Amino acid sequence: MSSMRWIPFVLIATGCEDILSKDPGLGYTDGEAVTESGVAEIRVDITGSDSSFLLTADGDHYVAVDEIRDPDGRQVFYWDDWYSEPTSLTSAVWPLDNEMVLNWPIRGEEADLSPGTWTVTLAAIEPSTGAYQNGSKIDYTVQTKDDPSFNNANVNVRLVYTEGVDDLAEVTEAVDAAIERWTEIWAPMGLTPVVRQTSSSLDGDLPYAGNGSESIYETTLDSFEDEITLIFGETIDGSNDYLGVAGSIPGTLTANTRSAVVMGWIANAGADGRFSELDISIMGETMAHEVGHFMGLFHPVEQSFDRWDACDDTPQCTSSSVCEDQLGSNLMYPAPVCDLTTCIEQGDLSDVQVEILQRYTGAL
Amino acid sequence: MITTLIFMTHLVQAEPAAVKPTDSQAALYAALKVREDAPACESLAVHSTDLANDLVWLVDNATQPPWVGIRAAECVVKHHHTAQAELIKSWMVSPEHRGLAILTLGLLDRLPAELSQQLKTAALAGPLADEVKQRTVAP
Repeated sequence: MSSMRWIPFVLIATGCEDILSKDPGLGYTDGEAVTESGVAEIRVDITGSDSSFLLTADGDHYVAVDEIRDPDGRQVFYWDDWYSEPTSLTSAVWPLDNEMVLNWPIRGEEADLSPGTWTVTLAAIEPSTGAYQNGSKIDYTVQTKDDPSFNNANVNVRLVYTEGVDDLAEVTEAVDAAIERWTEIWAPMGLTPVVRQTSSSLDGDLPYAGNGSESIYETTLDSFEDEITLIFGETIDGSNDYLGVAGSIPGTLTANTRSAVVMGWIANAGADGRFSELDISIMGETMAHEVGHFMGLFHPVEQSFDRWDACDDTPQCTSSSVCEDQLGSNLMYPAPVCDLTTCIEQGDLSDVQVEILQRYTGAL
Repeated sequence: MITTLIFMTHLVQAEPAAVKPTDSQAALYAALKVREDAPACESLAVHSTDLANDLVWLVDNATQPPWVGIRAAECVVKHHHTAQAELIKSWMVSPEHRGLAILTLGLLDRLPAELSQQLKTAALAGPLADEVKQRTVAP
């Protein structure tokens, strides 16, 4: 057995141990709410040691967060403060689908959770008209994490190979090495990916995770409730255009149709179909980038250079040249900075970006 | 003397002169290198008046990030397969273009039947035959 395979072997073994005695450290409640005047209030009970919660909703209509109130009734989040802004804090504010995911708190700027009952108001919205809907059913789950430190965390990831891909030694060896690169990127931020590798009979052509898919739902049913699911196949949506896609920003740890990151190996290996050292390094950055989306990070600047993340320590640059100068080495920059044959390393994260990752409920 | 030796060592190790893209090739490269939300092939025409050849230039010269060559090749296969048929056939028998051969195999059903068969036949007779059989022979 090569040394390249040894690390994942240990991780797989750790995964087996987890199966025997799994203590995810996450609280869990679920329920059903029905909207009145277009909205439904979800009560989230927070104990003294809970530090964040992840609310996942699935409604009859499109669902979006309306407001969040702390146990004293103070409004700490209101949809209209973010809905039309050029800065993005969470996709939960936009009615994009029947499924919605909200992690709270998001940044350090949002106050830490105080014990008591928090209230999250969700709106049910008719997609074609934008009108609020009465009598609309919303199923929800709430996961809470009991982790007092926002400085160090393990992020559990279940990597699922599609059928046959785990038989391709050059691919699995490249994935193992890319995970090492990802681990190296996260280390200065106090984050460690703990990857459990599994096989599956999934088709190698993966669905576009952002559009939702029953196969993603069924696959993530087999993941532990504290694991992010990363599905590794050949292509995405019948195309080699996509190298990786996160289901949503943030993504959920419970099973829904977007609860995964998907990656295709062909686009990551390039025209020669072989993984060079640089290909592997960039694939590790792509893994960290896509999982970063899943944990709540937006691009610091979008490719249009007119939208930015909500981190006050990432500059709001407005052109390709300036943005590459100021943000080109940032892990979440929307494109690698390359000159046809080489690329610079992209592993930096700002302090506020790290705050967001550390507050994700799956960072334990 | 030492300085001269170091200088000569650098001369020996120097890379060949880097290729320089034209403005349209550079614009296509910038469009195709994004991690997510790759532009549709149809939208690339705004960047080039000689799109097929500029895409082929990227396939041949843009090795990083690795997906640029792949995305460019996918557009060549989907939209310029008639004009570039010989080039695509050359990918099917070239181990150095294994990724492009696999990509093309995945697109055979989108190509005219005659070209699709020619590409498959060429691939089955070439050094990538085992790979082709795995991907084209029904279980």
